[in-house]
Amino acid sequence: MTVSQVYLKKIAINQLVDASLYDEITDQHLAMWKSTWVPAMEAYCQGRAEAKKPDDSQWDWKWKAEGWRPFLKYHSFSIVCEKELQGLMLASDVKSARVQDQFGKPIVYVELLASAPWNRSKIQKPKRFHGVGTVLMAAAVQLSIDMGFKGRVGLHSLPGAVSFYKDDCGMTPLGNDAAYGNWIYFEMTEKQAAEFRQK
Amino acid sequence: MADNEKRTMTLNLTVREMAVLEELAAKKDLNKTGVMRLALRLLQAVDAKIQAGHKLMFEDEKTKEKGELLML
Amino acid sequence: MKLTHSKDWYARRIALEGDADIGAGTMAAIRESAVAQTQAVPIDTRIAFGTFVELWRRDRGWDAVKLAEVAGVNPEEILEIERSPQSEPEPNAVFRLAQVFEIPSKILMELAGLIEPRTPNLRQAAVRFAARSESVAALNPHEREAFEAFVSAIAETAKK
Repeated sequence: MTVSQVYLKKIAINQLVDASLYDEITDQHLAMWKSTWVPAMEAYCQGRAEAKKPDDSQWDWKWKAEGWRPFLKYHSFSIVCEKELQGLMLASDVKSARVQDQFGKPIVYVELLASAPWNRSKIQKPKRFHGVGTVLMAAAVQLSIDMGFKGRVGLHSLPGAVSFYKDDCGMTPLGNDAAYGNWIYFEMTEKQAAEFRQK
Repeated sequence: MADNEKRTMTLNLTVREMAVLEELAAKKDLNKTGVMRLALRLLQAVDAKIQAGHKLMFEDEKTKEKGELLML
Repeated sequence: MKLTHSKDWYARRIALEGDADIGAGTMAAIRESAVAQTQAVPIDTRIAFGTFVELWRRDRGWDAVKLAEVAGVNPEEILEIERSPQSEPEPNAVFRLAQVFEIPSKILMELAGLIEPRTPNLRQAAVRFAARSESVAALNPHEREAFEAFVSAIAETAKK
């Protein structure tokens, strides 16, 4: 397992603070998920209609980990800052690109990406930290480069995150995908990845 | 043993197999090692599904016709 | 995998991200994990499941066709359950069998490896049962004893 020095912006002091990106979701991270994210999510969802609950409120990362760990194709990532779990991501490396210019070439596909409940403006205003998306996307792009895929990344964005992937990450939207909950499928090309890494 | 420690293997392929490997590498924009690693991951994932009693199928997008690809 | 971006890079990009929501992913990913997770279930509980189904029907003098008829499932499904522990049974078939056997469907689902193991001692009871059962035409006294002990174990766990 490798740990990278990264940064998140702590809103309370409006400054970047040190954080750690792990290229593995360990049992310790899962324990942190269970003891901190789950109660916060449950408290938020209490009494709310189904349609108003976050799309990932039922995601069981521990149960999923048992499913992904035996397979080479899965890569997991976690962000820890101020000794608390701030973000999680699961990616795979056997899917192919759909964008015409890179059709059929392998991509890193982001299977799941989520930030801690206290880092979401719907749940907590103001958020505790900004930057979880940036760090995890940087990880997905770097993984793609390490795999020889030149930064190509694909994902299905949850409805509220479309502008992050389109405008902030500069990815190409390819329309609603009926096979994936009708979420919008985004892809990052080699060129977009190079821009992302430079900007 | 660290997770990203590497092991080396010598791969003996027929002339035809090597040609296919090179063709796939060009098509997928990967080096030959990249293609072999991709193949390994795919085989592991497909094998697990077949062991769980699933079948590997391709579907014609236009006609919706399904054809069984292979039994491993 | 290592990230080596500069602090400046993070400052610029995080300013762009701002307050945005960032989630990605769908239930499709969860379904795939479900398949892989079932792989982790010990195959011996599935062997016990198949043996249990076979002995239950033979105890009543039923063949697989008769059990299939009563449960409202395909006979092929019964044969696959009894003979192929490496295959994942259809949840609907397991549910219907549980109704015929009059045992809680959750327990049969667990034995069949369709849901996460969570009933204490069920696996041990299943393994003991499978180890003691032999496949012969009618239940011999040895099998009957094993079968009845397993049914009691299931009844006990169901009570809790």
